[in-house]
Amino acid sequence: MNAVVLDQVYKTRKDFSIEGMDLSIPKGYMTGLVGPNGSGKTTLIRLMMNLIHPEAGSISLFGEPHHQPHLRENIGFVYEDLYFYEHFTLSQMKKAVAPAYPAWNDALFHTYADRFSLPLNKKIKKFSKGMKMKASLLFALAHEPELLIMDEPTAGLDPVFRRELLTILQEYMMLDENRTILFSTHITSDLDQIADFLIFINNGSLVLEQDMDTVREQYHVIKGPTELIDRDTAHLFIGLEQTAVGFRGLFHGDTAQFQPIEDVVIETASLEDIMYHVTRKEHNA
Amino acid sequence: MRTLLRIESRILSKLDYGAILLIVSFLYLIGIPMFAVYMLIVLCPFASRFFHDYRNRSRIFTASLPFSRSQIVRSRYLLAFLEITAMLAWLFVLGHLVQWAGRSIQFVMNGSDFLVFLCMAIVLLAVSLPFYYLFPSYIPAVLCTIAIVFAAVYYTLVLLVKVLGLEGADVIVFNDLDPGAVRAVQTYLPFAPYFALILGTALLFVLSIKLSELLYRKKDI
Repeated sequence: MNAVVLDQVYKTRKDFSIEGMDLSIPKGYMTGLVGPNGSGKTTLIRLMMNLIHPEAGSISLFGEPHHQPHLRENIGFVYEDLYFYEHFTLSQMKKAVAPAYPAWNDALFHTYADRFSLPLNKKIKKFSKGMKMKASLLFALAHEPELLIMDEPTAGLDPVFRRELLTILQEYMMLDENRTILFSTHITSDLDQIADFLIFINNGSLVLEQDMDTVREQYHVIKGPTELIDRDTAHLFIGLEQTAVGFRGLFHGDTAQFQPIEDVVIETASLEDIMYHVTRKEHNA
Repeated sequence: MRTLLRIESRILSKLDYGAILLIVSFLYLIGIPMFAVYMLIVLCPFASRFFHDYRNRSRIFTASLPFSRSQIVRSRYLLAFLEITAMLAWLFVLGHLVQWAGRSIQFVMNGSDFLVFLCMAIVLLAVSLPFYYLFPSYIPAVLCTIAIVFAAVYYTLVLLVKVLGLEGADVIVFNDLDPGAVRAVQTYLPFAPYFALILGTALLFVLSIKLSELLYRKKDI
């Protein structure tokens, strides 16, 4: 069962186009949505949230057309900013927003507000970027949604709270096996630790859609002396960096062919390695 | 809908509402003509609300709540209608209170005046609001509203002067024009004038809601 399905979705934006995208986000898992800035992550999320409309294709949430308003009772959203009236306090915002959600949990709201050290009676306009992000997360979590959609939630956060956020998300997932998170970020180290599935997009196109175990098995960074690189061996790599002392390349597939070679080091590729080399390859193509 | 109304009504603070009421009451008491005061009543609250939407990009938040776009539009229209009615009712009461206290006041609304000014205010609202759903930005919508207000003031003046038979007069005192609104309705709507006025206004208001719903539903936020 999938929480979100995109079927042949088209959308033209100023800098890129999404053309015939098919995508699914499995229910019960945390899926990371990665890609460089301006690759279409926010556009995808806004399409899912029905903030922008596809020119063609369909989007479904929990098996129903995504524009049904009642579906959003079960979705917690965290955008890159809070996007609420800045003269409100969190207390006023809660009074206004809570009745919209039948499953609103007031005790949970206060628990998270304490945990995030958020003042309930201070105007939002006096909040720092990090506090706004925490407030956004507070409202997303307080109605115990089945699907949590997060667009660059770690962008304005300090490293301490970023680590704390990942713990909170893991706790959230553990409470119910049906809970799903879509976590968009360009800070890939956040996902290395917690994501179950990975969606990588670049220039509006789907580059990779795979579970993290397969990604870890199939993508490796190969390091070795520069002499090993010639016209034939260079083609083996998705991306290659060479210096006077050695090379470093991203390889996709079975690494058995490299194992007998002396001076070659084989490492599991990080998401950052994958993103860097794939983006650069597409840019140079 | 109640939740949306609660959100909408809190976009303007009590201080904002207080300031608008104070200004409108002051203008009314010093004798600024009603046909000018009602424009402030119509425009201030809803233009401020759209300004807050634009400045805080809060449409992204409200459109992500479990409400349809149509419900969001309807709640804004409903609140604007309630605010206009409440503010005109306040001026109605204020005028009578001042008169009862034995003070002189330029123009005190009776029931017919109240109805006519309310309908005029709703027509102005119905014509202005769809522009806020049409344009992606706040500025062109405000410019359209200003143009509509200028046109409304001009044509209202011309109409009132004509209806009151002041066309040949050397001096026209704007304050004397207020009673002309009711007379204009009775002159131009000879058959069941108040019923026709209410029906026409309601029809225009509903059409305006439908148009705004359509525009907002199709809009990328």
